[in-house]
Amino acid sequence: MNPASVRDTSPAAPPALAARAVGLEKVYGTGDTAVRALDGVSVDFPVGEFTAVMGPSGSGKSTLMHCLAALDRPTAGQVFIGDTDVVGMSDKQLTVLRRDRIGFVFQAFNLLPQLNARENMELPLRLAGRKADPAWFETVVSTVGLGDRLTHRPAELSGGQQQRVAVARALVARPDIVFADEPTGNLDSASGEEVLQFLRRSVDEHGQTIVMVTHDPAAAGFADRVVFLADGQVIDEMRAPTAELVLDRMKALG
Amino acid sequence: MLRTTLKSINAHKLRLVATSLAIVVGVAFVTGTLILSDTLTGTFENLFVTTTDGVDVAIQGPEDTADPFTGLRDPIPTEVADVIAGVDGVAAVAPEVQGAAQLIDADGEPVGGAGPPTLAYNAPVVEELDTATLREGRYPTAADEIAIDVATAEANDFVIGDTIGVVTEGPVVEHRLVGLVGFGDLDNLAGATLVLFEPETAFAMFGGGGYTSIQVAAEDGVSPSTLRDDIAAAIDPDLDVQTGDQLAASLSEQVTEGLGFFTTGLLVFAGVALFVGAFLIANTFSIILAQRTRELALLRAVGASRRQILTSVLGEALVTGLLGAVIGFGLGVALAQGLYALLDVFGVSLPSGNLVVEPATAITALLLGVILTVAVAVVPAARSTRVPPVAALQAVAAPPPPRHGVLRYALGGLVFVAGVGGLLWSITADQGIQAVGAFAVATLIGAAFLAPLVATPLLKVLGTPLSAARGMPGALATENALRNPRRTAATASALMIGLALVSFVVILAGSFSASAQAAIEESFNGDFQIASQNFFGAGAGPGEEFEAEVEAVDGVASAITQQVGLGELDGAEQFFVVLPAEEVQDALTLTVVDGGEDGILAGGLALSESTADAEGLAVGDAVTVAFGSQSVEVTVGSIFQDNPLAGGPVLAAEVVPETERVTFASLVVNLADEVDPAVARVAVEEVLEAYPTVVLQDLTDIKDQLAGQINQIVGLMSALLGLSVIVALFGIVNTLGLSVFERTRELGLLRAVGATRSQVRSMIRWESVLIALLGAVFGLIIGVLFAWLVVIGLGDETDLLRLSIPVAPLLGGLVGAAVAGVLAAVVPAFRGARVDVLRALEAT
Repeated sequence: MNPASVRDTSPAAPPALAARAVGLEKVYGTGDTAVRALDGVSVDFPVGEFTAVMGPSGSGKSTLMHCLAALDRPTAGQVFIGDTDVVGMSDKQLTVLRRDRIGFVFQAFNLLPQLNARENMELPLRLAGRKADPAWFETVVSTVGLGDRLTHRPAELSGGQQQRVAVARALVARPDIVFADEPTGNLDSASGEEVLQFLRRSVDEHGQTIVMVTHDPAAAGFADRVVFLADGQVIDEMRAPTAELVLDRMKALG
Repeated sequence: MLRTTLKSINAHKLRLVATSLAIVVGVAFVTGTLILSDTLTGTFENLFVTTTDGVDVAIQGPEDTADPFTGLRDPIPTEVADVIAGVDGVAAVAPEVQGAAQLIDADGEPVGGAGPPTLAYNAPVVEELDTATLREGRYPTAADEIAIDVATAEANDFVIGDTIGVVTEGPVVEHRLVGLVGFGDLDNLAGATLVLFEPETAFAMFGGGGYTSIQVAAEDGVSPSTLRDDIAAAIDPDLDVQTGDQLAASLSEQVTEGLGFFTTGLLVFAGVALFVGAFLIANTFSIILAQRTRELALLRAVGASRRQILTSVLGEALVTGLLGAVIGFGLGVALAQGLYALLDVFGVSLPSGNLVVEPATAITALLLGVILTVAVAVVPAARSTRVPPVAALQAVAAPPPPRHGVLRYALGGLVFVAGVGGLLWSITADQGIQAVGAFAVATLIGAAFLAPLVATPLLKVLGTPLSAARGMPGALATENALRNPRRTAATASALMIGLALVSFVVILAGSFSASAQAAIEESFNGDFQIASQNFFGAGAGPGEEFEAEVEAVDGVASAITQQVGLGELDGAEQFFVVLPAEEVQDALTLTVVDGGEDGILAGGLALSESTADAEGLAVGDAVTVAFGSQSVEVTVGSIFQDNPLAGGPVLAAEVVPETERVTFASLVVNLADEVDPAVARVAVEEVLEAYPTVVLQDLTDIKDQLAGQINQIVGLMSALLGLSVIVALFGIVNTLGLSVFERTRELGLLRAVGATRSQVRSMIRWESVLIALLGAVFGLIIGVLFAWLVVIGLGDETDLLRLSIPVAPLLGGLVGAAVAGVLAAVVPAFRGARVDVLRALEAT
């Protein structure tokens, strides 16, 4: 569905990968005070898959996402978005990569308060000097169910609506991959479920690739697969998770 | 609580310095001006005490006869000197005359051009009563010898033995330079050129009715004050008799008063800069306190009282003000040194001596900075005490902008209307410059209060093409500027003040220039004029033979001498134009509105409509015209429409009494029919070679000269007002810096979703340009308003002054403001683009 990721499909390695990390290491500080946030993480994110990354606080899940999403530079190892090697890119190249090929949903403060919902959704496209494809924009808007709120500013939207606008923004530019960092962390459970269902639908109906960091087993239950992190290392993976299975697994991890 | 205040200050050192900068410029200028003024007074007093050393008593003409332009009084009759010589206790008597003499340089041009006064005196008659200091050579002893001041000699490479052209009255006469003089350790006196002639020659040339002053030395053992009283008793009681010390004090006062325009002018501009600074401090404190809402609420929640919050905030203002005042004071001392050097560059030799820094100056500077800062911080500080403790628990990164208060706009509107009304009244009713200034300040404050109301629609208008041209960064810049219209408008208002005054000066000068040029074209009747290059003719004139000499040139039909003089019309001071009665209409087109059946100057006097109205005079009224002690009775023969070449009374040359006060202004030349003006001009200019102090001008030259003089004044005033514009730019830097700080999180988000660093910089830069343009547009509007008020206030009775808006310089001002906006954004944009994405997103 995405030309960039279709191209790097090779007969030897189906399915195609939207992103992957190879031997990723991230060390904060130096000497005695050095903290090893990522300690040799290698993980693949196939196209069209919804992956949840879980782990206790300090497990390195946010650092992993920041490195994958070209927001932070790893100390060692490689990150690929499609077949593009991200490590070693200039700040400008990284910025353009984020703008054109990556979508973001943060836990909070996702929207610029001075722009209305529609303008916020179009932000990455307009920063690139492009217009949204009207048909696709309509599709996204109707999927998120914000049709009558497009001219409202963030302050006039509920927390759930704000997060839906954020998800819509992430999707409108048709990125190769969407990174969501605790997207439901600030929401009540009903609003949170709305957002998660919307993420799920974008995977099912439009083949969107999504990587979501969460510590909520219920949220992880919406994913196709869960990657567990602890002490900066991938320690387990689970396919077709449910909230109960994830919860059990987490308990086992302590 | 004090510790909290200090910690808060310590944590934001950069912000503190940036805020302090707002008042540094103003305080520096006040300090510099005060120091300069004290230094000038002190050193000149010392100087004159030295130079009048041997003088025990000095006699001058009656004090109330002093000419406002030249300071010259009516002469002392020569026989008074003999009377004084006979008074008991007098050892020596030295009469002195003052006149004007223009030195001509090697290229045949007048030395100093049309600038400083060209003074001439007799060489000292009695050695011990010498007020000058002979530096080199000797005093002149023959009619063709002169001595001049050292500064002029050095500037023109004149050395003893040189032959130098001098104009006193009539054509150039060559003299031999035999001596150089100074005044104490000064090379000249307040920039004037000085020529000393052999005494008898000087008395004959400048004596007129007598002496300008008489210096007296007392016999040993006779006290100066006793001798002063004895002399006063022996002569005409109207004459001004002083001791040498009194003379020194009054001379020093005259010189410092002469330089006073300089210090007063600087103080006005310092005041404007302080006014702008006060605006910025109020604005900065509003922003800072709004950003600290949570911190203040937390303090309230843990038990700080409102009073403690208020004290804490005002304490921070106090430290800010103190810092600004101290820096400003330091810069002011340096500035005084610079101004001192600047006067020297302009050819004003100044006494050597240290800068006089009075304790009062330091106290003034410190109090000014502190009181101003604390006073304007009171309103935001009081507002900050109303933060409810619960605000500490609300997660508001940036508080919502304050709502538009109806009260605020009602009050602002009231102040604005009162200011405009007061301005119109004070100009029309001639209430003086203080009243006009006060109402102008009120208008500006009112406008600043109303500014947010206008800012929103204006920003939308400016932002539309910006968004179209600059895409998302442009659109975001517009939205950011619109987010808090009060903040944007307050920042822009500071710029408005300076630009309003600049555009006012430009528009008014442009209007005056255009109106005057049009009127000159209408009323100047000659083919040429030959004009004196001295200010108001106060200098060496071309003499009595001049008119005849020009008239004798081939092709010249007539040459009419026009004189000017400051005199009194029935006791009211007036600037008189003096023309021969029969030839008035050949020189000027005067449109008679009343009388004039027997000739415009029948009766000796014609009045402009405005003068007749102001003095309540009509055709046929008998009036007294006086120049100093000389007066003449005349009758108003006609009343004419006001005219830029003759705005007041016109007096017939035939009736002017013998006086030094009426001096040559110009010779109006009419050519015979069918004479080629270019050919005639060459012929006339041949005659003028002997008269370097006058210049031949045709209509275009006259208009160009006028425009040039006006442009010079406009340039100087704009440069000084530019200071307050620079202060206002600091304000933009400050506001943008605080906004960037406040919006760190948004900047992080923007960068995360793909805004490049240059797009972030562009966004901040364009917001800055929008603020600057907003200020420029406000400034232009107020500037036009001010100019219009002056024009209708002054031009009600006459239509001499019509509003004419010079578009090009004002558009230039807009472009300049935009460029200034770009410059102001450099640092905030750099900081904004450097925001660390991850840290910004994690910030709470």
